[in-house]
Amino acid sequence: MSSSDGRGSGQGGEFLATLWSLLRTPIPPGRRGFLALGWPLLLLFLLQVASGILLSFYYQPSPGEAAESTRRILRDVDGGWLVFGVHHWSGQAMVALSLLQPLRVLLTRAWRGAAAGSWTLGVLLLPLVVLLAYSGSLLKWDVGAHATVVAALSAVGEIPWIGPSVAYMVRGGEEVSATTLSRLHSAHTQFLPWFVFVLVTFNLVILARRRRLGRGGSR
Amino acid sequence: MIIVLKRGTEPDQIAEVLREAQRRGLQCRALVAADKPVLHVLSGNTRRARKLLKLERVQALVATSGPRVRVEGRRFFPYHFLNWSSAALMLIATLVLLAGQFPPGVGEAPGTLAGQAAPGADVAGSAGAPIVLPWYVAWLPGILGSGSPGAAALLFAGLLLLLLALPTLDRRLIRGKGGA
Repeated sequence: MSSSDGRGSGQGGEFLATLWSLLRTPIPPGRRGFLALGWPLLLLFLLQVASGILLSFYYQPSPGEAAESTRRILRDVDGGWLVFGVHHWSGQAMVALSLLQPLRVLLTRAWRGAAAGSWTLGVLLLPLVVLLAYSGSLLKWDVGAHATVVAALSAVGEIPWIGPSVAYMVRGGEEVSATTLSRLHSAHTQFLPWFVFVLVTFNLVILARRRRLGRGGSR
Repeated sequence: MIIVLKRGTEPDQIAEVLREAQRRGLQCRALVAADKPVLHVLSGNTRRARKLLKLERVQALVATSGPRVRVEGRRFFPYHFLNWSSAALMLIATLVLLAGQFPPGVGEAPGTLAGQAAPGADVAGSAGAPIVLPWYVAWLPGILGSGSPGAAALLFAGLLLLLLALPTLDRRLIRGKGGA
């Protein structure tokens, strides 16, 4: 196993040393935006919002219609496959970047000093983005999604103290029903995007303030 | 800030302007070295000082310093814009490519109860259907299966709190090392 400064033995050690040196290379201010992951995240979020609004014109959040309306979007609506595909893949990319961003900060110890606020917001953003993507993947409400909701809420219900209440709240009753789909739809289209938006805006405000004060820092 | 008085202002008129300035909360001192006497404002509000312009003997107000912190506007660099646009276009192109090559599919709708197929109707179970989890939560069943869901939830909450507290813990660690 290599040491903490990346020096190790063999090819693995060399690779880690190279990776470590790459991570520690100072980035010129002009290129910082390119290498950082914050701005692609913002772009993906905006893409999600735009494609989500377009999808909402055709999607029907009712158990009898959800899967069929999704299929209609993919099959019959002009460019529907593209909008749905971009919405799906930008969601996946957003989760991946939300995972990579704290990992990069963790490896480069970029949480220090003035960057502490951004780090906190990034950590809070991660579960929200995962929930946003996961709730979206369930909205097609096909057999797989339904089975997943049943299994997931059953697992959540087994968590002591808060589990049963949370599961009951999401289900909207004792069983998975139309209310569950309605609540997942509300969470995916109304609550969670706003939370993400607020966190992203706060992060931008912090970054703008740091830039103005000349503290720089990564995004 | 300097208050310039008109040419030929008499000492008693200067004293009157000084009194008026003092009444408005400004601290001034008079400098009479040329034909136009001036008042050097040592402390006070610019907004209040401007009101002295209404006095008959006051000619002008000269600011001697700007804001303490000058905020420089962000400059626009065309090559940055080009870089950003290229990156954004590449990202969107990749998403379009993925959407075309690997389109997300939709399975069969879960069986609805007889007579409840209308929108808003409850859905019957989907027993036996395969559970397909997205990659970012695919590891959850493994963790949940290895222990109790309560322990897993506690583990996640603890990890989240640890990550949130990392800057504080790190600062304390550095201080501890510095003090040693």
